[in-house]
Amino acid sequence: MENSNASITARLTGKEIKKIDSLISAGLYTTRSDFLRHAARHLLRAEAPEIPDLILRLQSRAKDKNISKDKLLNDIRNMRRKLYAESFGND
Amino acid sequence: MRSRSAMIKLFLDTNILLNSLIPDRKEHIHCISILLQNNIPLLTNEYVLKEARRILEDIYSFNQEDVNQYMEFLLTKLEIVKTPPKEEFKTINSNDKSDRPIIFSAQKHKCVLITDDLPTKKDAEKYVLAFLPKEAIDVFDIKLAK
Repeated sequence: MENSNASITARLTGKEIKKIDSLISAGLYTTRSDFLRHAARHLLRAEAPEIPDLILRLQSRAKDKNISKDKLLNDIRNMRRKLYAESFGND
Repeated sequence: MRSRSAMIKLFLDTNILLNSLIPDRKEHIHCISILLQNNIPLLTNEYVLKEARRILEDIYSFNQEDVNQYMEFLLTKLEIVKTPPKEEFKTINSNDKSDRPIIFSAQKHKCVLITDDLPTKKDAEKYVLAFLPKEAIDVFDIKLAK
């Protein structure tokens, strides 16, 4: 996950910048970057229509494996302790 | 709602990312609705993401391609922040020390922590606002997913 965040540069027209700045002035976004993050996420969601199917498929597998909420919470707790020990030691 | 989104950010614990996969609707609907909503920015850290992947791969042995696709989906929904170094999160006092990197990240990034784990929530409340997923749905007026 070392490259999970990265900066990119986008060149927009003056008209587009002006519209973005007016939305920021109106308080809808905090910065130009904030606006671009929202825009990128919106488009990524539109380009990933297969996601509901993926979640349904994973839910079906979880059902086969009898994964309940309590079991999941317990498994997460155990994994968290293991990962902590691996990453930070056992002090 | 959008103007409020400029101020509020939600930091999601691992259980919120994975509860979406529990087949029972009443168990997953709040978590899925938080993940799928578009108005409030969502954050988590690398520690949580690594934990989620290890649970799906090592504990439940889910299909590798499905796991990769689900992690990619999460990356489109969440901003991922670095796991804090131990020197920073050691100021956090929690009953289970393995919760400290999560509580600290939520505090550092000025987020509301969303967790379905009551002991984690109780400890986190000493440092940040923390809600169960159902509480978050009510407080932030998040529309339930269909």
